[in-house]
Amino acid sequence: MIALAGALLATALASDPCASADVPPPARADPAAAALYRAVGDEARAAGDLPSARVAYLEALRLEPSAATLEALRAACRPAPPARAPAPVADHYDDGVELMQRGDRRGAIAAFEAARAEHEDAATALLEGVCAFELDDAERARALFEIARGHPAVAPTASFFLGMLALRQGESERAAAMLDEAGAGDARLTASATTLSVLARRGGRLVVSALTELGYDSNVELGVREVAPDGSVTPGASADGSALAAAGIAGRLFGASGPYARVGGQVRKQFVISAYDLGQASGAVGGRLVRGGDDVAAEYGYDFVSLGGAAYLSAHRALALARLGWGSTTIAATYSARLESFLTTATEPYSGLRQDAELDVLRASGRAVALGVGYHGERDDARSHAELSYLEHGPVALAQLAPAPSMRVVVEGRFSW
Amino acid sequence: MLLLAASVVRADDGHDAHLYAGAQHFQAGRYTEALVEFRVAERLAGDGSPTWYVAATLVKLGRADEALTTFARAEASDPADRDGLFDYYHALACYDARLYHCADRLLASVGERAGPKIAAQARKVRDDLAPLLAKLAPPGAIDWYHARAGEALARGAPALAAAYFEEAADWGTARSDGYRLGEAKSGLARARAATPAGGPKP
Repeated sequence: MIALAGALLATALASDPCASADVPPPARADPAAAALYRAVGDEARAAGDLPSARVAYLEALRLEPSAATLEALRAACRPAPPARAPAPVADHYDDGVELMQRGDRRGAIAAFEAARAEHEDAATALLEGVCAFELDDAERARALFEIARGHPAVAPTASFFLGMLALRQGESERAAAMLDEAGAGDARLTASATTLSVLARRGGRLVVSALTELGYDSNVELGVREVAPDGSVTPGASADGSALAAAGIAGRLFGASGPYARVGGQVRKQFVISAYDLGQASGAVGGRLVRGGDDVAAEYGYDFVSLGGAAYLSAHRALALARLGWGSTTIAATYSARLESFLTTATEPYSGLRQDAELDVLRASGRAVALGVGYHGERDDARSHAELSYLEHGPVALAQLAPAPSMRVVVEGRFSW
Repeated sequence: MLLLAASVVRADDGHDAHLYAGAQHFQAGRYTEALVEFRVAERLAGDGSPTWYVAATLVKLGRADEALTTFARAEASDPADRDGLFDYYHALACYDARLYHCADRLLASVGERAGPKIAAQARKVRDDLAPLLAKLAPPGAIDWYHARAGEALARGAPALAAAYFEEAADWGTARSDGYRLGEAKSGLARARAATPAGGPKP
């Protein structure tokens, strides 16, 4: 019996592609132990763990040669039929790529969704995320990029797009972190990621800025220039140089959404014509709510301007704006009011309330073209001189074109009466 | 790996030889063979102690979801055999499954119980995890955990579903808006209720 079993096993191992040349010779028959290995093999095979099943069956055969175990081993050695047919996955993926290249992003998303429904794949999620990103579907894009970010091969690219998304939504800290992660993970992305990361950091929670400038104006007073007898034009007496210093600090401690405040000022000193020395200080407090592509803000501000060392203007400002999107349509509304008090005798009559409002509706066609129409109104009520008051209003037409990723052309036309 | 071999020598019932053989395969890096031996030991053992070794081997084979289910089974059937080394392997399974809070909790409990080398490795992994855990998970990431939990429930793996729901709850708790937190907690309770009680695998 043992000899027969040994021969059976030897034949099996010699003829089976799974058979290993260094499998030990048949051991002392141990049917109980063999049954255990056989049971472990059956369980592994049923769970699709064929490597474990083969090891267990071989061990069972070594302990008790058996035709049934041998058949089970052969079954475990046969290539397992694919749990899911790979072809449709590849087809959906290829379809998605083709549709994406043709610019049909919605079609591509449907194809990528179908591919992912059959088999979740980071690269597919990334491409679907890019399509959603280009359609301004931030929520879907973010979820897809997070899936892709879990796979090392595409994680840097996913992080890059998450950074772009955060940048677009005003989440500067997250944008900077994601872009840094992208740059560190893929050298090909480093240059672009670094540039955008610097841009994101400019929009941080506390931003301090300072500027100095030296300038020269050939005609500070906008006077008539002198024409020499030979016809040449000379700069005239009002040519002057100037030095400017400006500084500001802006804080938004809770990120893009939430309260914010900023103060700033500038001093421009003319070298000769001190009557045109300019001093300006301003401050504002406000609140902003950014969610998805929607943006609502309200602000109060104050400006003080001095000219030639004397007080020139004191103004209180109020601003409200809203930008709301529904798919490819965006409605934007702004209203501002400025209570101006001119503080010189010559300009005091212009003091009063100036209001400005505009409503625009913009519809995007893909990412390259957006067309819009709107209406604009402006009213200035001079406090004590009615003849200086005016009201202007009229339609607005605008077009935004993006002929290349790095180029944007905005054309706007207004007619007022 | 020496710890693994040393700890199995104390076993003296019918499964000891298989545990020892499994440990030898494990030490030699033959994880499939080790898994088979540990599975045989599991069938022979009167308690769930070999289940811990099965789970650790599944981690080495890169089968994190199965490892998590198996660790849950080991903990339910033989909590006394849990030690620092198994916690370390359990943490690695959590990490591989992107259950970062789970990994961090387990690594924190490893301490010096698993020896200085494993303790140092645990500290390093925790250091790597710290910046990740300091961030807020975006809704999309939390959705991903809910999706995985739902899939696990659908295929009859409530212990795994519980792990994903718990991670979703951890991330949700950290957010000021508690994104899908209530859903995660109720899912966790449901998954735990559906998890079978302990006992060695038949």
